[in-house]
Amino acid sequence: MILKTYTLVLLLISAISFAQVPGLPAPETRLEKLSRALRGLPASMEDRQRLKDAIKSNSTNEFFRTVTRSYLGSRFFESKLKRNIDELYRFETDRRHEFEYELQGYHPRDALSQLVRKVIKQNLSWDELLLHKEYRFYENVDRDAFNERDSHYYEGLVGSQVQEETLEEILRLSVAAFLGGVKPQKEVTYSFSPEDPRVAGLLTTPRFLRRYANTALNKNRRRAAALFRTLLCDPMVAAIPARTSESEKNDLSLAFPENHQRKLVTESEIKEMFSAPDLHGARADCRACHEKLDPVGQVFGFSASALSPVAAPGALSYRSRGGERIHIPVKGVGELAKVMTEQPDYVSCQVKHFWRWYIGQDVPLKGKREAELVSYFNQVGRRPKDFIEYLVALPEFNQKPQFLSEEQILTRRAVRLLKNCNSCHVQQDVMGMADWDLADLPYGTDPGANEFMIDMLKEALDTRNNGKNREMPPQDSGWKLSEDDFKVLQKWLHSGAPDFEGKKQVKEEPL
Amino acid sequence: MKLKWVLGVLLAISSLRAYAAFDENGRRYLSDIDVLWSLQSLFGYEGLNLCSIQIEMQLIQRGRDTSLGQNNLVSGQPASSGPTQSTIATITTCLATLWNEIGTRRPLVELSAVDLFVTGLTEEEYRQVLNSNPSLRSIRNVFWSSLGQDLQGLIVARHIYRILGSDARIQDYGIVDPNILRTQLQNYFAGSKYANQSVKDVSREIFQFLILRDEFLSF
Repeated sequence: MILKTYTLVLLLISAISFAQVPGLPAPETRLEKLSRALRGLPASMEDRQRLKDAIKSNSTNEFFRTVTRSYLGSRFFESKLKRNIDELYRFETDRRHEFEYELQGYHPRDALSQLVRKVIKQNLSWDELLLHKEYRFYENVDRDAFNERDSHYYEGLVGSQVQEETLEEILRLSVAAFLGGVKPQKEVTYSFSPEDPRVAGLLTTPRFLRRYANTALNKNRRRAAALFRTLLCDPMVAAIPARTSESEKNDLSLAFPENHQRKLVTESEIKEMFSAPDLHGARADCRACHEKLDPVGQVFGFSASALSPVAAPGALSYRSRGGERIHIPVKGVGELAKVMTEQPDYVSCQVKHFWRWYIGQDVPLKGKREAELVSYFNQVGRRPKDFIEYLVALPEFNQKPQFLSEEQILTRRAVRLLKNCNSCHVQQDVMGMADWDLADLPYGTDPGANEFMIDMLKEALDTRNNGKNREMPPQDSGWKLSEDDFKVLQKWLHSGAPDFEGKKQVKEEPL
Repeated sequence: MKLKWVLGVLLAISSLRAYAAFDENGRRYLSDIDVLWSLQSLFGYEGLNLCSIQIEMQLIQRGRDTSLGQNNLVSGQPASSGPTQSTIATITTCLATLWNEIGTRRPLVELSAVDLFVTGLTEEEYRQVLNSNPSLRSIRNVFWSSLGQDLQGLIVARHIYRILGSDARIQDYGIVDPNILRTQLQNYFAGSKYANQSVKDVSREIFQFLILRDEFLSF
């Protein structure tokens, strides 16, 4: 009985003393956060002890400077940042290899991993991911692997440099590999001139090309969409016209004329299909994407399974965040990458990626703060380690772990959904809404304008009638609003559309 | 046995109060590989070569990537907005794999090193325990109940420090008071059902409870 009362009292004291208090974290919390954010690991017992010593000797700041640099120099940091890049480009991380690399010091085998590791390890400019012109990779030399070799991708560019090994060479590499307990491999390096328009960092690596495979129908648009998404932070939500069985048959016939229904399509039939009103590409919202995708896709030429020996011209064509129409013709993928890195939207987008990785996607970054970070990113030559060192010293990073209020969580979920709307309404300026970023809260300083905008959202989603007659997103949008998603937006809008801090933008409107 | 597992899962779910990497809410969560490496780092005491079990860990993880918060490669979004039973199953299976390694597959590892790992004691404390009972050659296989409350409390505290960090860090999370956490864990494992379990087995239960807490999985 006494024990139960004692436990209850302790629980009560705990509940009172553990009310959320915003503020600086304890040094131990900061160390654990730093270690987990940079390396993905808890701080070692040695580091914890060193921190205790530093606190005693009043040299905590010096300790954190040293430990940050030591973490930034570790292979675990390298690996974690590489995995972030894999995730950004939606590459599958070779987990088995990651383990081998971390624990046994193996080298990454493919050209893309080598390139990314090099940029991180040597702290090269972040732009080098796109601008680097040297490729190094390791190939298995057994004959079975010959058809899968990465060197075939570069064959058209380097010509006679691609050579099959002699039997003696295979024997020598095999013996060395047997003794070392690894597969027989040889190192391959191809270097191109800095001005070569045919190659562009990771964009012309076999992994990128395989990940975003090209087809006759697709015409490199998947690759182009990946660039817009990762380099310019354009969400690229597709608007796909509603299909009828006839139009689907037409599309299939165009894509696979010899296979579909076992008949060839005649020229007049093709013309007829193109004049169909619901053919993809004939509508304004389809064109809005294709105007961006098609010229960028052209720079990849016909590189379905190998790089094109000649540069394929194209253009970077899009609407900037400031609403300006950008159209820059380029000679090839190399020049496209260079032009891309010169765009303010590219710099801002890359800064946002770093912010998301180290501060968190649910911590808003906008306005003056974003401009400051962009400026610092440029100031340090866009070198990743320097920039990350700066980020982890920011007050936004050095916060106590906290639980958000229900309103704050609701807002973050609603905003994540509303970002999909931006794909048409901001990027493509449908209905002249280019100036209204739906994910940027609060919507305005003027309460009247706020009310008008939120009311517009309520009407478009028909939240007052549980979405029975909702107009948005359109039925033929590539993004479908699930019932759960709709409820999130409905609840957010009717609970006063709170901003990131949980402050209501308008009055509540009970359902 | 089944009841024990269900209880473990319930305890774990109650400690995972937030959404995982999956869906942030003011804190970051370790990514899928980070969780595995963090587990390995806890076991990375001198003498244990982890390379032999890495492949096994991958096999456990294969097909369960999304359960630990990895993004779907097509959508670029996590498969679920928060941790599920599958998350807990994956982590606990990995822990079991690592735990089996202790002193079984690696017999060359010094026994005292295994004892130190299982109990979290320092060498000096460990020697004192052995000196106080000359018939004891190792403590990992003795009954948990035979240790005495003070030693049980010390082992619980050491595991909490090793896995979750200092009191100050636990306080910063604000989920639980570190003193209450220690007391409750000690009381829980002082129960009769753990009386005849070995120190090693109880330590494993404590590990399992702690590695599923937010303080370990997030930052």
